Amino acid sequence: MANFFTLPHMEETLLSNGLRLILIPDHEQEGMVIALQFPFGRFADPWGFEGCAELCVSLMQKGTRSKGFEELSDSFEHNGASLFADVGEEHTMMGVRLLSRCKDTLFPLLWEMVTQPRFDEKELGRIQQEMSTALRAEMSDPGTIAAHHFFHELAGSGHPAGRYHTIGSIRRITREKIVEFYDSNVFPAECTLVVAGDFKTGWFETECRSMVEKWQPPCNSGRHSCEALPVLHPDAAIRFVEKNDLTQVSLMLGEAAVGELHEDRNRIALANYIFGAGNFSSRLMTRVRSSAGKTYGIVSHMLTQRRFGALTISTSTQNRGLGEVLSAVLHEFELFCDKGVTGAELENAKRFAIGNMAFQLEGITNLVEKVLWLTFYNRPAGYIETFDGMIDEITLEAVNDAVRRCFDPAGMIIVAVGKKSEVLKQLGKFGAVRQYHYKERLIS
Amino acid sequence: MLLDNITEKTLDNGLKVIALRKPGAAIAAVQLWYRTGSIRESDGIRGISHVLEHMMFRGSSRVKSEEHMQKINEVGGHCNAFTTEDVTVFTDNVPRPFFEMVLELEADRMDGLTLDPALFETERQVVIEEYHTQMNNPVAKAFLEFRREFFRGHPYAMSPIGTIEDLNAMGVEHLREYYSRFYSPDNAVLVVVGDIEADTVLNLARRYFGDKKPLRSGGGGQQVERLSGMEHSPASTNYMKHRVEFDVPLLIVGYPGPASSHEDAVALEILQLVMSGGESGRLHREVVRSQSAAVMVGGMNHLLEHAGISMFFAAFTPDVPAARVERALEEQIEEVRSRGISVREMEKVKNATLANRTFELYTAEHICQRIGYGECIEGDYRLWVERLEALKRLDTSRLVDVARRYWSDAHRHVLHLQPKRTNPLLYVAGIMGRITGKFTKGRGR
Repeated sequence: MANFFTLPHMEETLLSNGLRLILIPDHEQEGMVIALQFPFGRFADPWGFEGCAELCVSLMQKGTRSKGFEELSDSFEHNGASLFADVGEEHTMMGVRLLSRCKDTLFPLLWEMVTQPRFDEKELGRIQQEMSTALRAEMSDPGTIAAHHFFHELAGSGHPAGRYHTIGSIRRITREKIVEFYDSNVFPAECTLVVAGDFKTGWFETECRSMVEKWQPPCNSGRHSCEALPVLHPDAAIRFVEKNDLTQVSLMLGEAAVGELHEDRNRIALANYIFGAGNFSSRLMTRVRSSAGKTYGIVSHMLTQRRFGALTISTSTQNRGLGEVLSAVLHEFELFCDKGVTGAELENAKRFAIGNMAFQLEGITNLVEKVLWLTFYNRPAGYIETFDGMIDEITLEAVNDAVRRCFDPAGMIIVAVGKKSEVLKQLGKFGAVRQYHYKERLIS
Repeated sequence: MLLDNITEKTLDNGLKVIALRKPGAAIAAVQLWYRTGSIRESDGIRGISHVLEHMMFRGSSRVKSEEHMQKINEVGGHCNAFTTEDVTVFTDNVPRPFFEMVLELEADRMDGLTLDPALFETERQVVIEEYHTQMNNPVAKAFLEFRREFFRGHPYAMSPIGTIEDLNAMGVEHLREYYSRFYSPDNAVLVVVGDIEADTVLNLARRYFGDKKPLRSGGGGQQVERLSGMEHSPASTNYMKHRVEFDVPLLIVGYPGPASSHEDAVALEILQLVMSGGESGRLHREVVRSQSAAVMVGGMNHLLEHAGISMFFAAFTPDVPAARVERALEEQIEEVRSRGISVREMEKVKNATLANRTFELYTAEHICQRIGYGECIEGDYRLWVERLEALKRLDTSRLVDVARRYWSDAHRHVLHLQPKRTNPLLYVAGIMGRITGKFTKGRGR
């Protein structure tokens, strides 16, 4: 198999304040992406104050000590720039996409947001209202409801993966709480700053570097890890969430799996491609959609943090088809765990993994995302360049052995969201069912 | 500069090929745009364009069912398709060395589909599942009713998803007839973007598509007619209110917009960006921040080949009357209708357009998509390429006139979605059931 990709030239430096700096000049177009990754995410939310990380990061973009929201947003948007922020589970990215001609104006503004946020009370109230509204909207979506119940069942409310922000937890977050969160989490150690696009490294050295290095950690700057522990395989469980307006039932099934840093990660990723992640090449899609016409889509997904991981299977089908779809999925999973995958399937999966790397490096936005991924998960130098060889070396025996060790067909958690009168009886045939109403989470 | 890298050629059989060389690109993007969509449908076959799009993956005499997608996946690529009111589009993105395989696969299904009746029955069920997925989204469902009223009397009143009655009643013979009428080289545009010489693209296009028979010389002697006289005569004002299982009150306000190729389209795009472009846009600044009438606001122009809709929407809290939100939106619209926009706002629009263009150019798929859209929906792909120049040329004094003509009170349609009240006893009963351990009994696995 040939390798179709090369990483562009990049310069990496560990600054005196502990921040890792990666510069990637790329003059294909006159654009730039500047992104800062913090090693915290929603898993770092203080207990009872879920949503704190998201509120903190949103608020950082809404005003600095010297500039109010309107001046800031106007400065970025007037220049055609877009701010972005993404709070994940264990890491967070914030930054800006801009035209390179605006870099001298906008980089200092971005840096002011990071290092001198205002945390305006009025803005806090507005974002709280926005998050509550978004939450109400999300909790009308059966797929989101199923996911929340699934992870609550899998990890339990004592594990960071098992809890989500609620309207109550959002309301409890005060400005003081945000400042406390910021002081404990937003400082340079273990952060990565990537600057990619149309600039010269000399520009960064003369105009930005001293500004970045001036960002100093607070005195007691020990970082608390928000790394979630893997969960043991819990017992099988079935949850039904009542939402009576639905003609289609939304399903999420799955169980605990390996994290990003686990030695089986790539073996399981290849196996998962074959099982349910490989679009129309996957077994689930072939069985449930292409052969039976029972769903519009079915996909299995590896949700992987550093150590915590989960395999989820998501689909929907008309209410009357639930039993048939569930039986088919469980049967496929049993086969997968018992017999593993075939040599031909594995070869196809490898070819996809290798060819697909080119997409992950196309354009500076994708490139920045990939570089941050490599950094966060401590991938060694040359990982991309040797990726094809690494994938090629994975044997069929290793994949099937990993599947047998990692998954347990008897430990499946099943969540169904649908119309009670048409769904519950079918679901009951698969085991004891615990019942919920879709509005419950909003009042918990 | 962008135009320098574009080559276009119409083959003898009518297939238009547009190739853009993107030096250094590891990815090749290939899209085949067929000029047919739900606008070509009539009662009894509503949704057939979309069903046929699905069947295009179900095999020919040379390619097995689902094999097209599997072959693309096997080289690390992605492929998909979508159906709109005006077009049906097939997209393939692969590492560059495999681009020839894509042309071969696309050419094969242009005229070689098997349309197997048994596979059609299965795929019909898949499409019906897709239909139900849309209908289970209360906002999407209400919007379908809104568009039916908005475009009353025009083919755009019907969504490409079709009707459940027609999806159930459709036969494979309908598909065969539709396929033979609209899938032909002279009704399609092939767009290729990648690090590939234009001559290579054209030679391979001739090799794989050159023998496809155009409809104009086909058995029936017919040709796919370009639709004309499809202007939308806007209905007068309308107010729809729905109680839905969605916990956020929403207001959608729509005005009739021009066809995407109309000279007013650029002006309306500028006005929309001034209103809803980010947090410095007028709607966010005034309706959300100054007046606290809504929590989130937005807007978009959905301009199709023959007509369009210019929309604004707001999400608000249940304690705010919808009339207040509507009034707040209306005030901002009136401000533009009476005073136009500032020089600084115009600069913002130009910068935003330049930035969007710049970032579109980083990926082959985005470029491919913009060229295809420009050619098939806007009437000429050069409109996309020259959009920035068009903005610079625009006489900004025209904007007030455009705002008055399109955002007219006489044709305003409003959709108000109000959350249904749920009996709190329903979920209290659920909690109590678990506390008392009263689970539904069932057999174990």
